[in-house]
Amino acid sequence: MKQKTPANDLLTPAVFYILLALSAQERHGYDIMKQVKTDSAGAVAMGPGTLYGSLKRMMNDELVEEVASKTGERRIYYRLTIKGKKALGGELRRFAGAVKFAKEKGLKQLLALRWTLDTS
Amino acid sequence: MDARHVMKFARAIFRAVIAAYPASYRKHFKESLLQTFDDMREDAAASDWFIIRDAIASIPMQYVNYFHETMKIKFKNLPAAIAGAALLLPFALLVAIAAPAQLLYKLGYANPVNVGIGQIIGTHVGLGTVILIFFPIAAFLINFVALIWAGFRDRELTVKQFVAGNVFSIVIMILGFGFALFLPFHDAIPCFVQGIWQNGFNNFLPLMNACRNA
Repeated sequence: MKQKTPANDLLTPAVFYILLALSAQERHGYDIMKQVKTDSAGAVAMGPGTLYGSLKRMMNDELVEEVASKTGERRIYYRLTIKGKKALGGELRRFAGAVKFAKEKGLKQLLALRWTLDTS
Repeated sequence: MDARHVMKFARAIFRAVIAAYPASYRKHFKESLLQTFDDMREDAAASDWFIIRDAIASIPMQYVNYFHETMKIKFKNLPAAIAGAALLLPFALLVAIAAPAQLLYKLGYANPVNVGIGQIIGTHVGLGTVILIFFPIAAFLINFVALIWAGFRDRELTVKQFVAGNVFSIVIMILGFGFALFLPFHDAIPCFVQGIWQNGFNNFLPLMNACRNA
């Protein structure tokens, strides 16, 4: 049974970075891991267990799909589905909105607002 | 131990960890997991311990996902399991009250008159019989019938899928059976266990006869 995951749901860091890694091209597992590490500046380091667990969930949610290697390798490659592209786009727009908001309001004011929320 | 042996040893451990994943996940990703392990080792991208620890840490989540996915499709005996659990609850509460009292008595801190399920039930023999015998039998029968029905209904399932989907009902059925046997046989159980421990399954029938009157 497919798990229902609307494209505008908040994504976990692992899922977000995997989607980001696959946004430019199809990649195999290890390539995804390397790209995630680069894109997150080392903040998200995942092993094979976490990676393939996330990929399985993402395939269930129809965010990514498997494709056979074009070069005849035995490796399995992964690529974004339309739903995956929408989910990534939504998340990037959310980030862009947050950055815009921070620029407009001034980062100092934003941090002050967060402090107020945390302490209220 | 040289580097080649370390590599072989680490790979063997990684393979053993993969064997612990749910079968469906393992079948789909085993080759990819091993390929990625080899790639990471070749690039010295992470320590063996990191890779193995990560694989071990993701085992429980894979089982949670596996059961979640399986039960979502197949689990249809929840009402029977809940009804059975409700019927077993009074029995469990009595045992929960009586067991610590029995322990205190064994340790010499309680009066024998005040301990045990019999003392809690007191003169309410009818109620005690219902709670201790009829309720567990009812819990067993409800879930037994539900499982038989599910077996006819979901004939296309494999045994593994059937067990995973009906796990709560199966557990309650086994508990109901065990609880129903508890009252008539609880005095015989220590005798029986001790006999098996000492003599194995030799003289099994005489042992049963001896313990019946324990």
